[in-house]
Amino acid sequence: MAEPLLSLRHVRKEFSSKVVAVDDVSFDVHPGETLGLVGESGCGKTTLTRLVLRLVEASAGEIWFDGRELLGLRQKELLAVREDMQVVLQDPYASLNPRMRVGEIVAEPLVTHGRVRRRSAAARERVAELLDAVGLEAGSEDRFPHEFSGGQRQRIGIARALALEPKLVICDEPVSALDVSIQAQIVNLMKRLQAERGLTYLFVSHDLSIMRQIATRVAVMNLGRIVELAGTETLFTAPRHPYTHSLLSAAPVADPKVERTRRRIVLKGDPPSPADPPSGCSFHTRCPAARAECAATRPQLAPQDDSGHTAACLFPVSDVAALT
Amino acid sequence: MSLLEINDLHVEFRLDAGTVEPVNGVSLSVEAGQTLAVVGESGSGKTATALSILRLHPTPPCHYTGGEILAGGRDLLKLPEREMRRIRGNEIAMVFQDPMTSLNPLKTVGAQIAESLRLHQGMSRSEARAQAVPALREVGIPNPEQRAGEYPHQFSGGMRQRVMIAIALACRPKILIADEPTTALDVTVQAQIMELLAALQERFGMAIVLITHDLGVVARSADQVLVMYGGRPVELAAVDDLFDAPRMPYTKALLRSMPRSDVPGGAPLDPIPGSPPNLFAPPGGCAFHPRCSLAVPECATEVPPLLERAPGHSAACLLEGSP
Repeated sequence: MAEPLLSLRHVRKEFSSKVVAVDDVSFDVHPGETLGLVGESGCGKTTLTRLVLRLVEASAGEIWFDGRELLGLRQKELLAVREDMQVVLQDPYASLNPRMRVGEIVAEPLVTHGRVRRRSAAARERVAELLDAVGLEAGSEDRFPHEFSGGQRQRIGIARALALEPKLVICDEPVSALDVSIQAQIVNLMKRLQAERGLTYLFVSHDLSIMRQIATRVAVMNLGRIVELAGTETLFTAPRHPYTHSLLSAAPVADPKVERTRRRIVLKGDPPSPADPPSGCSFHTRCPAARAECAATRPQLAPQDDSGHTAACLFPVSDVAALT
Repeated sequence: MSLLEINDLHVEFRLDAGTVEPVNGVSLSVEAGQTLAVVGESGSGKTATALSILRLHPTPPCHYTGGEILAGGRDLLKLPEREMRRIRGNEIAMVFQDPMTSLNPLKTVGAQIAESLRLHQGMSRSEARAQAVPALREVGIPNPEQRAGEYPHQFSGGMRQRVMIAIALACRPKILIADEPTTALDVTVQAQIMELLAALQERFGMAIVLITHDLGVVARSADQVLVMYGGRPVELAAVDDLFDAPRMPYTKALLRSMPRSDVPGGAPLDPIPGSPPNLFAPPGGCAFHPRCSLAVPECATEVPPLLERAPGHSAACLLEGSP
């Protein structure tokens, strides 16, 4: 297998409030794949993307991108690396400057990185090409963001992210703010662009149905840690961590017959506060299969088979019936 | 017998930018112990319909221009405001999407539950306070004696939504309107709240009008489903019929386009082209026709009526012909 494009090794982020948002996270993202990061609010998935972009500084660990370690880079070197690493954000209303025309928004990364001059013919040409690639009609460049719907705005955000021809695109909940009928348009667009341009995605979402449709592999996060990582189909059909089982069972499926017959795990109690995480396994307070050891020992990610499926659980579970 | 019946409701918002009609001819009914889900995308009119039931839209800009809302033998649209206040939170209660902004941050949750009991049931301050504790216990809040004296910020998102439900159910309403009650919550907490609502409905037999954009939530908890698009009702059916045999092209396309967590990925999704309609400039005829792959020229000029096509199953589409 080719060298990973992105490698995290024992990355940790502790905020000054003593909240450990990301705790000992290691994973690889291979060229051309989509690594999905799934988890509930406060699990650290967004912090993790910000650490990779170095928008927040890690407290410990190493982040390797395209052969270079990012955490030791100076600001100027970092700027150069960021050409290859772009981001698509969740809220297409908040992430586009309302006072800039779409053409300026999409050209801005090119101007910042000295590829083209502002308002040059080259800039216009490149913008037209990008807007076409994301399915926006010609003439969009002269309009303002408020003239576009949510789905179209997300296309603008994607065009901006692609302007520098990055290797890695970090996508933080890119379809969560969109209407259901629009989500499929954007997912298809992102898959097509990935195939055409050989893009690598680090794709964050809380939505399991989106994850199953776009990810090559999925990492499940809970309270700052990765608790399970597997190929997408393996994760959805043969999960091992009780937390993954409960996420899958909690997500409603749009089929009343399936809903009436499936076994459902309804967890007891509240998710623990990241400011005061439980001892041992961070899921043991809500886990239907927890035993005494779970409160004392923190499980490490361990191989579940030879396909690269790993789970951090002292007593991994194959059959959901054991949890209901 | 239906506890709530809406017939041909029309609501207008007269704004500086123009007049929009977010609710355009909606009819529905709900029976005791049943859940009617009203489903649609942003701008479909589902929340505007929900707020109209309790007349919560400010007038102006809102005007109720036609139709009737029947509950307890009265037309709510004809009642004076004083009468309406007796119904809100008493006979008909509401749970909103965002429990943080819907609760008063300066009052303890016990006081907020007691408020509706004092107002509607004429309880004394101490009686109402005493009732707050069992009300919290009922919605599964541990340690209710202590929690009743705490403020909303001391509760998690899921616990706050339980408090909202406790407030809504304190006066034992016959009808509960739940506007995206689990949308702001994490998926494992969402499952808990849906389970709780189902258990309370079984116990108290109230009718629930569930407003949601999430077809998974519909499949899990609805008996009947009303699909809205561009302010109009476009399909009404029992939940199984809607998912098994949708008749309106919008419903069909929506079900096809949905990414599903129980179906392997790989194949491209089947999206609906275009965007939901702009209510300031709605398309003529059927609001869905610009996005509909089956549209014929008449669809641009004729508004299809919502007609019963099979027992208990109505759809608004010219292609369905006349029944």
